[in-house]
Amino acid sequence: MNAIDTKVAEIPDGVSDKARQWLVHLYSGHATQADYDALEAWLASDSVHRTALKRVEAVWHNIGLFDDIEALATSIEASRKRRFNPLRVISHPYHIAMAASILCVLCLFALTRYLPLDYRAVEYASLFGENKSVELDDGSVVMLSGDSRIEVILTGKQRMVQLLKGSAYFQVASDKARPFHVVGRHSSVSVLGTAFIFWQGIDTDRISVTEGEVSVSLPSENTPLGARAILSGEQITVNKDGAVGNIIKFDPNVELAWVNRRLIYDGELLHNIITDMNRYHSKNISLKNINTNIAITLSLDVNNIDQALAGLVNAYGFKIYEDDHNIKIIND
Amino acid sequence: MNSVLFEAAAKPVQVAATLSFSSYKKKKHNQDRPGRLCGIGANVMQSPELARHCLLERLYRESWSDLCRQLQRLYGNPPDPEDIAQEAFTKLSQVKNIDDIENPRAFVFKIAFNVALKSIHHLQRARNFLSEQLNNEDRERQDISPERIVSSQQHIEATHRGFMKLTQKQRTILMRSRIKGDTYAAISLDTGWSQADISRQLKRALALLEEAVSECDI
Repeated sequence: MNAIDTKVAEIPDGVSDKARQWLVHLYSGHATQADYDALEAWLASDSVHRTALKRVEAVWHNIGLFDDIEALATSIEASRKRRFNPLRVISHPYHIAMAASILCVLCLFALTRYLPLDYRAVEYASLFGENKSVELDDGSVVMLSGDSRIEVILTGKQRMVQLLKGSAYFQVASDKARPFHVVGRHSSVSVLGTAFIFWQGIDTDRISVTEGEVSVSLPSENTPLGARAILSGEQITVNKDGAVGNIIKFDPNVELAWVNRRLIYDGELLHNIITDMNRYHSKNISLKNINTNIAITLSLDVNNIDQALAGLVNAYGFKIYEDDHNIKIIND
Repeated sequence: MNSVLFEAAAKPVQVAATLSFSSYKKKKHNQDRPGRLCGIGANVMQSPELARHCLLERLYRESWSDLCRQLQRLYGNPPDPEDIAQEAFTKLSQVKNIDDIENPRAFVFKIAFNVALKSIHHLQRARNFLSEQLNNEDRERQDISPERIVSSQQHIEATHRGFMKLTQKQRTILMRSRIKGDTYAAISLDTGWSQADISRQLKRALALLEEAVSECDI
């Protein structure tokens, strides 16, 4: 019963106000057991208190019953408005590397341009097993691999994308007035208009350029001088410890195979292959007691991951255990 | 699944009872399976049970992907969006008077959000406490039913009218707290608004919504 059966006139303003204050505090995420005890005592002290809290709680509940809840929920992400404050980002150890990457890109930008204080962030995500193509407002197209997520901030002077999870293929619309920056876990990329793949493994970023030229930086490199220019057909790898691999040539048919729902590897490390498989498999695949640095050459359809795993297990003498949610590959 | 459907064709009464959304999960190819009972070519003289089945199947086809995507955006993973969506559809399939639901798509989204919020510890603790303290009747509030919505439709509409008059900032905070289940610390981190300001805005918004509801009672 959501009907609100108590009129405002029957409840003193001070009591209604206090009831709202309690409700707001309960849902704050900071309510302690002492708060709950105090609220219980407050409710027991006068029946009007209970009536007031019931009334505001009914309003709170009604918000979840709006018929346009889907559109309103969509607007939550679309209307996210942030003010730049790097100290906020560094509130969790996991975010330190990301914060450093963002600072790097912003410092690059601040060398020549006025830094806007307000901007909008929009998040896009793909589901497990789903490649998803997203067209950004500037005309750029981003193909997300399975279980991937990006946050996009477009302003009049810059275009910023954080690759929060997974991997993506960026086809960047040319706009010389607005550089396009992509920040990953261990590196960042700046371009004006080109196409490249930003792949993230367990502890590695790999950038492969299919058109034009990009500039790749480490979080510690906050000037353009430290950036490396990567040309079309070239690839660079950056590890979590900041180690940068040599610039090498790559086969776009291999790197872009996932766009056509295939996974192709030539001497790839096993744990990176498992990371990719997890983007397309409904169960969580994990390794136990296995040397993850085994280099493997493999080609498979993302719909046939189970068969590929069975082949791997047979080839290396591993054992496989599977339940409704997990696939564990174990070296006994 | 097909065997279930063929059995249902012979005995339409059993359709609602045998329909299992777990069999739909992650099997989108089933959407276009041949010989299905609903859609173009379906018998126009459907039994109520078969009509109900078709409504659920159509809703599943049209809403599943959007719902999963929305759930992932709002609540991440875990909780598994597909598990939540599946639970929402299962709950919907168990609703007896499904014809009373004016907007089934909105209804399944409401159920799904409600299910997702149950996985957020601080919200669930607050909801349990309020249900226990306010009265036993409200304990059922954690589940959404067509009857409950119909009985309070007037107040929901008044709340919605009041909601649309709030400032954008108040609406954002309300949605993030009530629908997304964010703590104020998380909202503050994303928006730059102080937690004290967020609390003030919420209190003010709730006062305005209570006022809007009270006006409809006059």
